[in-house]
Amino acid sequence: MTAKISKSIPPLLWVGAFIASIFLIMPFIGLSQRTPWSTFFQTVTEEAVFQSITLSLVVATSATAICFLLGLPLGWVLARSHVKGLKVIRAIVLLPMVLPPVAGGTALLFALGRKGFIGEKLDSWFGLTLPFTTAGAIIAATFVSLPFFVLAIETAASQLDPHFEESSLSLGAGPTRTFFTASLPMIKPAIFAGIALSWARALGEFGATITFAGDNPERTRTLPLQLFVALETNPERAMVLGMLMVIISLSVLVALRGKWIAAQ
Amino acid sequence: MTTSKNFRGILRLNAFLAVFSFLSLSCGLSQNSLHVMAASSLTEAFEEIAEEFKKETQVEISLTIAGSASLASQIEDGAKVDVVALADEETMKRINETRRVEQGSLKIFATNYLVLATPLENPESIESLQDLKGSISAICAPQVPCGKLSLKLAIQENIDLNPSSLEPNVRSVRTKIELGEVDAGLIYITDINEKINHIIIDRSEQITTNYPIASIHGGKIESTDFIEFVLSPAGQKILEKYRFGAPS
Repeated sequence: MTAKISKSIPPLLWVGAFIASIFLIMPFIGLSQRTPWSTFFQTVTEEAVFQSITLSLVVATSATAICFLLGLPLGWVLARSHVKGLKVIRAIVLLPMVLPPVAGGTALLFALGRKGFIGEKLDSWFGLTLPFTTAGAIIAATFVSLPFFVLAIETAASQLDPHFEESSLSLGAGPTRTFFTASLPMIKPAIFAGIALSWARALGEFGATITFAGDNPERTRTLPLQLFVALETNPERAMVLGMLMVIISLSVLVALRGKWIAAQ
Repeated sequence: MTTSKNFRGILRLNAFLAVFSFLSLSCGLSQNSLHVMAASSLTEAFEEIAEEFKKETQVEISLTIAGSASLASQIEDGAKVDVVALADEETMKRINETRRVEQGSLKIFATNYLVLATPLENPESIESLQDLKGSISAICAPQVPCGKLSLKLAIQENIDLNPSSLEPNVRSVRTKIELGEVDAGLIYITDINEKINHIIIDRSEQITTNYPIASIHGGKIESTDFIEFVLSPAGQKILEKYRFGAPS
């Protein structure tokens, strides 16, 4: 079966696919060539770098947890509901994916910054300010990675055969029980894919973070911000940090996304 | 069948267009233009200088504006550029080590110093550097000239700045002040505007940063003309308008 499908690929597509792969792989070959491997271990174990790694893992994991809690319901509703106006929401959900992250960060400031229309209330009612805090960095990362999660869930849910749910409902199970026992297990691969993509996106987040959460060495300097500082002072260090990010992201994508494809 | 033919045609056309646009973009700069890289704080002044220079010589200036440290990294990495103007001598020295600076072309063309800036309403009633303690503040990151200058100032005044954020350039410090996200920040006197309140710091004028300009090895011959124009009375008048100090 697989061999047959493989044979049906027109040669021209092979050429296109080949060029596309080269185009995507090229920069990483360049990066690995320039990476000073002899100092790799020394650099990544430096205290400042270690601190950034820890912070990045905390930020990316927290952001992914929020993505899961909020993106799962949103993706599901977008796939299943026919409520008017959802079209607009569907488009807005994709905005953080296509906007320059710096624009996203600025928009976050206007909403959740100290003078933002919500941030102002948070400040005066609860004494809570988000910019320049780790919570702010998590919010910035969540903002850019949530669309990836929503999209994964929405796509999977809309492709799901509603038969199973219908029979579950007809057997007397309520919508909540049906969702958790019938629907959710069926979109498990998509959940893994969503987690992998949003985690990787959150890990690499730079523009929205530096705009909304600023650069504070203890609280908001994640790996990409550390890389940015290094790029301006010590390019060799920047290459090591860049390579480190490639390794971490690639491992997560291969591990979790592979699981998704295998399950399908 | 026809669809597949059409599809191939489109693919071919696409490939052709991709190659064509790539080539035309990579040789986008016309012959009669000069590529100048300048530090963020020079944005408006150099835009005006470029305009005046074009009027006088018909040579178009293509400006790249970024933090001095970013510019230095790009030049070290071999960016094609004719003239570079930075916000401090230390960063220029860094480029000089790579021998990309044309021998003898380096000149100091302006000076600058820091002021304390707050949002217009000044919520924490900050009047001096001492008041920064316990407030939310932003300064430039230590890798850029305004950050180095901020640290020098802190040492001279014996103050622990403890900023909430180290911004990548002086303009983003100003933005955070304008938006009211910080109570105060240190910016150049040349970056003040009507949307923020600024306070002159005693003795800050003594700690100035010198702005160097130089032509890059292998750049165009007109580079010298541009540097001369910046140093000429006409160029200096524009810099003065934006509150830059004259080189001593």
